[in-house]
Amino acid sequence: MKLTANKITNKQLVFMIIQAQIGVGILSLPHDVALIAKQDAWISTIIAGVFSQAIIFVIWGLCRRFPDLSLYQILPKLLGRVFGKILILSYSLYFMVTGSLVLARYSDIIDKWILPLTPNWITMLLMLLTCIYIVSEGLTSIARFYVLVSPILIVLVALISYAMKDANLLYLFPIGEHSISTILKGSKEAAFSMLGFELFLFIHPFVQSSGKEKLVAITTANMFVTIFYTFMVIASLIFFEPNMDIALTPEPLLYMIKAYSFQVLERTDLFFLSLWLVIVATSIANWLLLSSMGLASLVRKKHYARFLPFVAGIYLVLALIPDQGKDFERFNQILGPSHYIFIVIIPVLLFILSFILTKKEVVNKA
Amino acid sequence: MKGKKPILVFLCLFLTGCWDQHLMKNAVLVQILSFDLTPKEELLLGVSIPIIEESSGGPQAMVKSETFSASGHTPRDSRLKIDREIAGILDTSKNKLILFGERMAGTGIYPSLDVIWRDPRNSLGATLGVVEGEAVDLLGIKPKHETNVSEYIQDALTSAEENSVIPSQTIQTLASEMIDPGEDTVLPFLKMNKKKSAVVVGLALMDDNKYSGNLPPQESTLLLLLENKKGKNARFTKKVNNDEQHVVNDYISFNVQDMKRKLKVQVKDREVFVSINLDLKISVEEYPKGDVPKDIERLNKLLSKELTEDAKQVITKLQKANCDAFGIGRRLIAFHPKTWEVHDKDYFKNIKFNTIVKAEIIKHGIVR
Repeated sequence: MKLTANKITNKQLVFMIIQAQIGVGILSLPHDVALIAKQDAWISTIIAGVFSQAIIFVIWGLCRRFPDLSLYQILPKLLGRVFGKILILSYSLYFMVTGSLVLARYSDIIDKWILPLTPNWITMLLMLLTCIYIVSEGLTSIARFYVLVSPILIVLVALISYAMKDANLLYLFPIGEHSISTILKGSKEAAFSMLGFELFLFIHPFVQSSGKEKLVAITTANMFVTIFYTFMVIASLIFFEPNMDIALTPEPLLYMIKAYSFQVLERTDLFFLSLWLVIVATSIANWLLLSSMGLASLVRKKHYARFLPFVAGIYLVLALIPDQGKDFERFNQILGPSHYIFIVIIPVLLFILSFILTKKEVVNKA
Repeated sequence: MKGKKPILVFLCLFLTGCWDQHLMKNAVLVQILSFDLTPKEELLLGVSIPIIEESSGGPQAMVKSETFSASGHTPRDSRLKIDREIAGILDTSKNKLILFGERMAGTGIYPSLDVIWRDPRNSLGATLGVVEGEAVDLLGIKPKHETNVSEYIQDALTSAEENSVIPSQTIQTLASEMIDPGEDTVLPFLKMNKKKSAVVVGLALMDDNKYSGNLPPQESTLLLLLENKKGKNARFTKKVNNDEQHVVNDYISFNVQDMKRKLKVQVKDREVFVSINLDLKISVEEYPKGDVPKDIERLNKLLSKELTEDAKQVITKLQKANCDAFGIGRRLIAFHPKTWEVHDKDYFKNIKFNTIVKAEIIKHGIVR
C-alpha cells in the first residue's frame, strides 16, 4: 500500500483536514443551528468544535499506536480477518452514502440558485469527473491541490465581512437565553458539518512527521474550522433576525451577499457559489478517496484509482435518489446514528481494544 | 494525452449547457414595480419598462419608458397577465424600485414581497417606497429633464438620501427589520405634484409593515438624526428673529456637520424609559441678518430649544403611528427579556421618552 511517491508534509496535512471538514454544510450550517439554538447558535458551534477535538484526540491516540497502518489495515489486525473485512466494507459503504449525500446537496443548491433548468445528473457528473481527476493521481497531488485552493476561504470571509456593514449586533442578545440542552442539540447539527477529520485515520501513515507534530497539525485544522464556522454563524445571526428571518432562509450566507452589487459584479451570490464549488469538490473528492481506498484494501489491491469510476457511478446513482427536502431529512435520519457509530464509537472501541490486546505495531527502525 | 482525448471531447460537448440560458434579446427588463389595491380588493401590479428609441441624427439613443398594469390575486398572477400582452419575457432581475400605493401599504407590504425573496433571480438591491394615492399613476409621469421614469425617481431618492430625508436601505437590509417584532421600518414617501413630477415628501411610517402615518421632510431629517442615520447633509431652516421689514431676516439655515447620539433604555417596574441625547455640531449656511458670532450664544440656546421641541413632536407622531423606528423593542428583547415577555402590540405607545437636542454652531462660512 505504501508508495514512496505518496508522501505528504505536515503543513499539507493541515490543509487537507481543513478542506475535508469545510464542505457543503457551510451554506446551510448557520440556518440549521439557528433553527434550534436561535441567537445562541454560535455557542453551539464552538461546543461542536470542542467535541470534534475530543474525538480527534482519540483518533490520534489510535493512530499513534499504529503509526504505519491506516484504519483499513488496523481493522483486520485488531478484529481478525473476517470481522475486519466486514467493517472495512461497512466503512466503505458509509463513506459512499455520506459522499453521495454531499453530492446530492450540492446539486440541490446549484439547482435552486443557478441552474434550475439544467438536469441535475449533468451537474453531478461534471463534479464527479473533476473529483475523480483530483483523486486519481495519489495523495501528494491531492494535498497540493488542497493547499492551492485554500486561499478561497479567505475570499469567502472577505465577502461575508462586507455584508456586515448592515448587521445589527443586538440580535446576539440575550446571550445564553436557551437551556444547555437546547444549545447542545444545536451542537449536534453543527457537528455534522465538522465531519471530515476522520480522513486522518486513513492518511496518517503517509505524513512525514512525528506523532506530536501530527496532533498539532490536526488540532490547528480543527481550530481553524471551528473559528471559521463560528464566524459564519455569528455573521448570519447579526444579519438576519435569529428567531424568524434566519428560519426562512435555508442558505443564509448566500442570501446575505445576494443583496450587494459592486461596480463590475452583479449577483454576488453567483460569484460566491463558484468559489464554494471548489470547496465542495474537495470534500467530495475526500469521500471518493476514502471509499475507493476501502474497496481496494478489501480485495488487497495496491491502487485504489481503478475503483474510482465504479465508486463514482454508485455515488451518482445514490445522489439521484433524494429529490426533495423531505428526502434529505430522511437520508439524514438514517445517516445520523451511523455518523456516531463510524466516527465516534468504533474508533473509541478500537482504541480501548488496542490497549486490551496490547497489540502495538512493531516499528522496524532500520 | 491519449487517454485524455475522449475526456476533452466530452467536456467540450457538455460544459456548455444551454438549458438555463436567458437571452437578452427576448428579455424585457422591468425597472419599477408598483403594487396597488383595486376597488375590488385585487392586487394591481404596474411595471415600467424602458423603451430605447433610435436617435434621429443625434449620437445619443433616447431611453423612454412605458407602463403596463394588470390586476390579479398575487404579484405573480398579475405578472403573468402583463407577460401575455408584452412581446418578450418580463425580467425583474434588474428591478431597482418597488412602490406601494397608500391603500396597499395600509394592508401590509410583507406578503407581496415574498416573490422577490423567493426567486433567486430577483434583485435584492431594490429600494422600497410608499406613494400617496395610487403608485401606478407615478409610473405614468413624463418628467421634462429625464425621459426615463425609473432613472428620474431613483435620482430623486438618491438626492433625498444625501440630504437625510430618507434612510439608505434596500429590500434586503429591510428584511430583518420587517420580520423583527421589536422594530418597525420607515420608507420613503413619494407624491405626484400638480406639474406631473414626483417629489419625495418625507417618510412613511410603518406599524408592523402596515402604513400608519407619515412625516414631512424636516421632521424626517430630524428622525434620521435621532436614529443615528445621517446622510451626507442634514439641512434645516428655522425662524429665530422677528424683523418687521425683511421677512428673510427672520430665518437661519444650517447644516449638521457632526453629530453624536446617545440612546438609553431603562426599565423601572415594568415602565420603559428611553432617553435620547443628540449633540449636533452645525455650520450656518444662511443668516441674512448677519454677524453670527455676535448672536452665537442666543442662537445656540434657541436652536437647541426649537430642535428639542421638534424632536418631541416627531416622537409623538411616531407613537401615534405606533412605529418603533428606533428598534426599542429589539433592545428590550436583548437586555430586558422579562419586560418584553409581557409586552403587547402597542408597547411603543406606552414608552416614556425624554429627548434632549443640543445644537452648537461651529462654522459660519466665509463671512461673519
